[in-house]
Amino acid sequence: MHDLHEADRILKLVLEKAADNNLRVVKEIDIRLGQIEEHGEIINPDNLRFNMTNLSKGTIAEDALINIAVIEGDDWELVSIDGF
Amino acid sequence: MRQRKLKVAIIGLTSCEGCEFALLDTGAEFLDFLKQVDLAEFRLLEEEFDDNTFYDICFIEGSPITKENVKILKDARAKSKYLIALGNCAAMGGVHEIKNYHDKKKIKEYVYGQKSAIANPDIKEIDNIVKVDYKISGCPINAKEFYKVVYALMRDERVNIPQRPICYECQARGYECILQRGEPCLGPIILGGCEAICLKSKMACQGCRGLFEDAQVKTMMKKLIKEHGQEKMNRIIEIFGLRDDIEEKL
Amino acid sequence: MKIQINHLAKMEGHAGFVGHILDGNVGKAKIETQEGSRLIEGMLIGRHYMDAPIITARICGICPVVHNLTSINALEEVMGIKVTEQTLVLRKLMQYGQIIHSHGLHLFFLSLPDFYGILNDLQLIKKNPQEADMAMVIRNWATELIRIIGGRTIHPIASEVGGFKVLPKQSELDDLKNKLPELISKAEKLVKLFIKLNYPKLDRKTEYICLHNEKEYAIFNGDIKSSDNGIIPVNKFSKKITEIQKQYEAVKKVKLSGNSFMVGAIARLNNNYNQLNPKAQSLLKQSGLKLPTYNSFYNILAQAIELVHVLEECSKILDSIKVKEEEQVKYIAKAGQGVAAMEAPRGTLFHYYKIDKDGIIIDCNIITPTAQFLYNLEDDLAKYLPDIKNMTAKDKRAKIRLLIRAYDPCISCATH
Repeated sequence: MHDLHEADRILKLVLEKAADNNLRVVKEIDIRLGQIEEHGEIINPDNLRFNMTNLSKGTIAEDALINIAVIEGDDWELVSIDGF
Repeated sequence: MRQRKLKVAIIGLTSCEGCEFALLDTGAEFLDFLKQVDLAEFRLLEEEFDDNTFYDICFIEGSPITKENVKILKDARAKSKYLIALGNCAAMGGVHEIKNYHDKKKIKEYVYGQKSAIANPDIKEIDNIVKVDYKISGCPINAKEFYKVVYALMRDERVNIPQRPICYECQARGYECILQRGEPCLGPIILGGCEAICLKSKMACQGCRGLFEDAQVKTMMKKLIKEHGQEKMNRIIEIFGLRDDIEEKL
Repeated sequence: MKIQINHLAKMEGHAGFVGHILDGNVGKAKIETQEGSRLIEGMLIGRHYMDAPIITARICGICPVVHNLTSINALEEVMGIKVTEQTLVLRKLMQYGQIIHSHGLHLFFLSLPDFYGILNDLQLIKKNPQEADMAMVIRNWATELIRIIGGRTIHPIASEVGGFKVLPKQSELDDLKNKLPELISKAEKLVKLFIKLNYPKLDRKTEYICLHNEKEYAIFNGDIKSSDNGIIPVNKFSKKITEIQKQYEAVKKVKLSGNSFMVGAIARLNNNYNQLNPKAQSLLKQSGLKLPTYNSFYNILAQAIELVHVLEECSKILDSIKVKEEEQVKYIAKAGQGVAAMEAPRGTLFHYYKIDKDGIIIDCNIITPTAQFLYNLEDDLAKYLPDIKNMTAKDKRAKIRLLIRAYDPCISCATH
């Protein structure tokens, strides 16, 4: 399923940005998700959240609240991360 | 008859991209080629591409200098049926390889000063890192060879690169033999296929296409070193990453 | 602590240089470009000067000719070599060929897709087959011009210090000459397309630097003209350039007389537009562009107008040139130092060399246009980003991509 790949990409980005900003814990992640079609399927926000939650186990983003707003267009955007 | 268009990728690592432009410069011929394949990746023409899991034919241009370059190269090999080194940098190290033969620390410091953390690895040909199925060398490539190789692969035909020296093409075209008038021309040990283009402008061959099988390297180098000196010959064979290949055969 | 990121997925296609620019992080982008560094200048030290034009051509696959020729001009300056008039004319033609095919590629295959919001050139070619064909015909003519004179389009062979190894065939030049009238009319049509495009608004007082020549719109040689500070010889200007080069390594912001500056077609047009050839002059008038312009997006339109100007120049030369067999000038290599500058498609290129009595390079410095204008790009972004902060992320990205595109950065050159 392609959204596992996207979940991985987004999470890697979250962790990279967290490191850039010296965060020790990521508490909340804001994402905007467009209609991304991959291999005939539109990426589903719930699936994306589920995959990100699984992939984040053992990282500083474990248990982060993941907010996904559905938008127009065919792109996703990592809007912000919140942590300390 | 093949049902689907083959997935072709042209991936550049660190390079001048001249070999990629050599293809673009063939204009309509290149567009014609693109119509017959599914172009999976070619950053010069498209900035967005499907994240493909598989390439039928993947061309790699440039030198693997940064960590990112090496990762891209390994990923490409893992998902390609055929991986082909495109151009002198990928096939033989390129002009970048000159630093392998000298004090590369000093070279880096000259450009960036002592404090810089610029990556400064020894330059490798890509077949030092991954298995390579074919090499199309040249600086830049002769685009005709690209089409010859890719169309052969697309038709499931054997890729035939005749193992003959430059001299064959040079004499066939009636160019003056400048080796005979005392110039340090490597033609007799270098793989033909470039139509002896340098010789057309009366420039001695500097070997950007690499040695051909069974080239008489020892004999040729002995003669050239006797006439021009070791230092001068070393400098010449360094320019296109040929020096390590020649020293291997001596 | 909440950290605003606004990172769009499709940016990742441009990981590295462009990605950082889109993030607004030009400084990091510069560092990013250095990571793939090939250390070409370092490798020239200790080599014979004859290697320099060959090796520096390999800095860039789209503009190898300008590196090759500037390297040759610089070395001739170093050793006080005066070449024949014919040699200069032939080199000039090569350089004009360089400008034409580079602008042709950048305008049609790189810029137009960004204006139309198309991300794939193949789609653009389907959408505009006639223009694609015109652009290809023009490019092909120019690559042939370089090949006929220089022996090969990418990484020329025949040009060297002292002259040419072999001279071009008059009949081949005549063939090209005969194709010019139709070619120029095609180019005019392409320029009209670029006149009609919607250029975003940007206005930031900028210093423009380029070559200036009393006799003609400077491309091949000249003095340095600044829009703000008059005209000085290249070797006087290059002393300031040396300071800039050192600062590149230590300090992020590079200043010339206290400010960033711009090079490229827009600089050339701003500084020298009254020297344009008639058809180019007419197209400039038709565009309604008021000069000087401080809108970097117009670098694209400036390239389009230059394309026609340079074709008209080629027409003048090809109409009168009669290639005659001649010996290369005789010279003796000697120690010295010197610098030459030429207008590459993207802006002023400098090559500096110092050689010893045996002709061995002991010092060299190459300053590419991209390396010079990156700091101007940072200043433009600082001005422009607040102007567009209320646009959707997608539109913002498109506008920023277009600004970067307008600069026409050559990463290979920046990373030599």
